[in-house]
Parts: sequence; structure tokens; C-alpha cells
Amino acid sequence: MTANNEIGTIQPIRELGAICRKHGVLFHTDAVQAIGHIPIDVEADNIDMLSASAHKFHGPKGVGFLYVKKGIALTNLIEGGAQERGKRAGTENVPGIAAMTAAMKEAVAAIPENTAHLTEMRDRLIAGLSEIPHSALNGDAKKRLPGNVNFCFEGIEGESLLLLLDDRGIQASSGSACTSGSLDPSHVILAIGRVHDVAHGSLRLTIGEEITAAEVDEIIQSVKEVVTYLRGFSPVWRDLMSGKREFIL
Amino acid sequence: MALYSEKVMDHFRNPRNVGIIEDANGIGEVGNAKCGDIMKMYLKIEDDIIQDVKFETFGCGSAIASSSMATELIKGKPVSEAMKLTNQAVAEALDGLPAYKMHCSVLAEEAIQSALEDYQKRQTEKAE
Repeated sequence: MTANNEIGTIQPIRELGAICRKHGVLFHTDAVQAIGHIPIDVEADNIDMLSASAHKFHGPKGVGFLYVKKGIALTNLIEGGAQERGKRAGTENVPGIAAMTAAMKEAVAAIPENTAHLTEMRDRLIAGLSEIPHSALNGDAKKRLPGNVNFCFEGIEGESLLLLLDDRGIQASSGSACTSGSLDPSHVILAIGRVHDVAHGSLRLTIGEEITAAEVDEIIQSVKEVVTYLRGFSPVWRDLMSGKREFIL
Repeated sequence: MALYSEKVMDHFRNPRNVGIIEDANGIGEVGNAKCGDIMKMYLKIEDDIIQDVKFETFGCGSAIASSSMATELIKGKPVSEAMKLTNQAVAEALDGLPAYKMHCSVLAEEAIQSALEDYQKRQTEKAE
């Protein structure tokens, strides 16, 4: 992934691509989260193949694209008609493709302006949420998508946090097991070293370029209130506060 | 979110009997933080009647709602009746739970059972 979908971490794609080039290995990157949000140059970044999805840059849902460098032979995905040079048979979704192209042009052109504003808003949000005791930012503080914020709050579970934020008009997502329908919390949050107990209390907030400082402050206030409320009747929090259980964050 | 019934959302948003009982004579805790659910029940039983019940829960919306509903179902009831509380009764009283959330109602039943067992153990110890 060029940028991680949960914690927004931006990987050193250019360096990874260079290593692949040096060893004659084809390099594909999933840039779904990155296209239209950070600059990408397939030539300079040593990318052979790249996947993207329109809905991540305000294009329509259900359309995406795969960039393939000239000269790379791929196996056909759907056999039949001659569409897309025989790689994928079936009539193309032309309105979808046209809309995706228009959205991508707009998004890429706006990257400098949006990045400046979003980075400021993101850092404001991170600073505000960091004031919550026993919380931690997931992922790198700077090498992350300008619109991505992901936190763990100790002593609470993510789904109840989401539901109460939803009541306040804030739509977020969580890596808790309950929201994924599986028994384990997010593999990404676990992979960066958070233990299960803490990973259940993760919160992802993705902000868009229209967001204002006042709205960020409202989000901070709401998250603070909801986390405090849920901790107020969490037996885990009680044990942490009484010293029966050791704080992890 | 349409995932939960109105009843579940009501008990989640306005949980009944939240908190602790300082002089509880039956306490039960089930679940673990690793799995993302812990329920703790506090009972105050006098003359074999559950005079008061409070809970603390670390968990998702349906875990909180199930705890709340379970306390409502046993409050003021004799111990023998509370012993018969089932997870189905909790789920039914909440107008149903999504299939993969049924374990929350099981946890609520187990938390009540655990607190009642603790009460009975304490009574036996007192008698000895």
C-alpha cells in the first residue's frame, strides 16, 4: 500500500520501487488511499503497476483503475470480448470512467491547497485528542495521509464509542472486533504492536478538505466527552485507576 | 445505525442501573479485555430479594444494552427467580440482537449467575 487504509501511514514507495528495479522485480502498489491525496509520479516513484479507486477522491463508487507500465504482460482477467485490449471483456462503464477522470483531475490539482489545510486540521485534531489521558496516536505523526487520524483509547471499546459519536453527527470507524464482525481487532493495529485490550478501543477519523477548525474542535470535545462517559462505567478503567491492572498507554 | 433495535439503542444510550454498590453482597465479573467484553454485576440482596443491582461494562453497544436489560429483569426479584434468567430472555426483552451479538446476552446471563454464586458462597461462609 502506498498509504495504509486504517492508520494512513505513507510508505517509502520510491525507495521500495528502486529496490525492486535493482533486482528485476515488478512492483505493484495499492494506492487507493493515496491517489488524489498525495503526489504520486509513477516514473519517478519506480512504480510498475498501481491500483486506485474513484470513490476515494470524490469520484463515483464502483469505478477504479489499474495502471500498468508499457511492456508488462498480464494474464487476462475476463476472457471474451476485445475490450480493454482483451484483458477484461465486457462493455466499459464509460460514464463511470469519465466521472473518475474528471474527479481525479480535480483532486490532483487541489493537492497542494488541500494538503496545507488538511495537515493543519489533522495536526489540530491529533493535538486535541492527545490531551485525553491514556490515549495514543496509531501510526506515524507526520508520514501519514493529511486527512487521517487514528487513536487508541485505553479502557473502552470502539463500537460503543462509534455509536455515541454517531449520535452527535460524527461518523467514524473503529478497528474493534465488534465492528468487523470477527473475534480479533484490526490486524493493522495489532501489527504496529498494540495489544488486544487496547486495539479494541481504536478510532479512525477521516477528515475532508471542507472541514473547519471549529468543527475539529467540536470533534475533539465530543470524543473527550464520550471517552470520559464510557470510562465512567468501564470495569477495565476502574481496575486501571485502582492499580489492579497496569496501564498500557 | 439500523443494526440494533430501538430497544437496544435505548438501553445503550440510557443504560439503567449503571455504577457500583459499595456494600454489595454479591459481585460477579465475566469476560476479558482481550476479547473486548467485560461485565461486572453488583447485587444487594436482602431477605432473598434483589433489592438493588448495578453494573459496569466494557464492551460494544449490545454488551452495554444487554447488561442494562439484565439488571432490569432481576431487580426486585427473589434470588430463585433471578437464577432462572436466560440469555434468550435478555435478547427477547431487547427485541432481539443480531446473531453475532448474541454472545453479549450470554455474557449478561453469566455475569448475573456469577454474582448470585458469589452471594450464595458468602452466605454459606457466613453460616459456617
